[in-house]
Amino acid sequence: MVLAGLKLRGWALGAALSMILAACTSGPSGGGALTVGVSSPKDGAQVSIPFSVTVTSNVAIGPPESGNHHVHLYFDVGKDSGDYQLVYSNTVQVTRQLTPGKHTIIASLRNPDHSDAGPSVTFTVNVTGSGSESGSAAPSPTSSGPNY
Amino acid sequence: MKLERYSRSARRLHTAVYLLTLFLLATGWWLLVGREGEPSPVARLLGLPDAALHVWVGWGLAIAALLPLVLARRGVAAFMRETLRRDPGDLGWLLRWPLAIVTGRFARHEGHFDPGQRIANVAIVGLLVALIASGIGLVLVHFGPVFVVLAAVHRLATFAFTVVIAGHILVAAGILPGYRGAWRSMHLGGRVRIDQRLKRRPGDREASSR
Ligand code: HEM
Ligand code: HEM
Repeated sequence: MVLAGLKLRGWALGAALSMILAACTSGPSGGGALTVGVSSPKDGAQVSIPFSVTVTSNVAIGPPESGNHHVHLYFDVGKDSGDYQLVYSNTVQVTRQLTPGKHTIIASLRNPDHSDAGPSVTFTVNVTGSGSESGSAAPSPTSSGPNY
Repeated sequence: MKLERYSRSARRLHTAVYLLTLFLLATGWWLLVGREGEPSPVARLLGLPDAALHVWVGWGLAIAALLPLVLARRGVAAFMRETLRRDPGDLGWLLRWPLAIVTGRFARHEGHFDPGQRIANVAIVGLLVALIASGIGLVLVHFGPVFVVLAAVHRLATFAFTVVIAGHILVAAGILPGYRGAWRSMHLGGRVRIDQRLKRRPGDREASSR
């Protein structure tokens, strides 16, 4: 009985160990550096909500279940924030209600487990006021106060 | 009269494991239902993405699970022995179990755990090992075909584990008439009132080497 217990425990440890070993030998970064870019919109472009973002990379972009990398879009926050949009294919629609004006967006290449794969690009867009139903849709040109 | 079913260190380990596990279940399900990128209330509070929180607490669970293998080898061996034992009356016990849930009249059994607890122990520990091993694998592998397999294992194990833990909590919480008072064996000093349900009968043997 004790033996059975020990055997089971040994098995579990062995499984965990061999998993770790396998992970080390088949480790990431097969040599070439990873890249990420944004081909559209152009840096500083005028956009209105919704707009689409096209990302480029030297690795395939796909959902985590595919084992491929993907991209996170961070809007006016750093890339360690928990608030981001997932990009599981090369083109994505941004529907987030960004306030009119300038916004800084980071496109960060991620591993399928959502950890940072390294490269990122920062670009800005100028969101023009649109979409609001009420008559006075024109953004007040002198709004220098904090965004809400 | 009170009976202490579990040692203080066993109760501490159990508490540590289940607090960590409940947190992992919560963050894991948050990711699974597609709330990724939308910080959960806890993530907002701590200022960390849910995926990162999940992995940090995951390492915590991995360490908590390994500690007894180092610090309490005898306890682990006793747990294994009592969990993997089989006795002649076990099948009868299991057959009477559905009724006993309501009546509290369980058939008598040998050993520290009743046959139902033994099955639960195997399922819970087995699935935890699968979750921890595949979880660590996900962290280390990061991407590629091995990641795909590990992610599938991690996900399936989560489904099974959720069901098993729900059952465990239902039984352990003492809501079912037959299990009233059971929760005290792991809480409030770990004393069960044996004049209630978890009665030992003459002739019952307590687990050896405790
Ligand atoms: C009770 C234990 C655990 C449960 C119930 C659990 C559950 C989950 C679930 C449901 C997911 C989301 C999967 C998906 O979206 O397809 C997940 C992801 C993940 N888990 Fe766990 N997990 C547990 C333990 C661990 C441990 C111990 C680790 C490693 C230290 C770990 C590392 C990960 C990683 C790296 C991911 C991928 C991150 C992501 O998809 O955002 N997990 N887990
Ligand atoms: C998410 C994880 C878990 C939760 C939420 C949980 C919850 C509980 C609760 C509330 C109790 C109190 C009822 C009682 O004392 O009988 C309990 C008891 C117990 N738990 Fe857990 N538990 C978890 C994991 C585990 C694990 C990993 C094991 C190990 C096999 C385990 C084995 C036990 C045992 C043996 C009892 C005592 C049953 C008795 O003596 O009647 N639990 N659990």
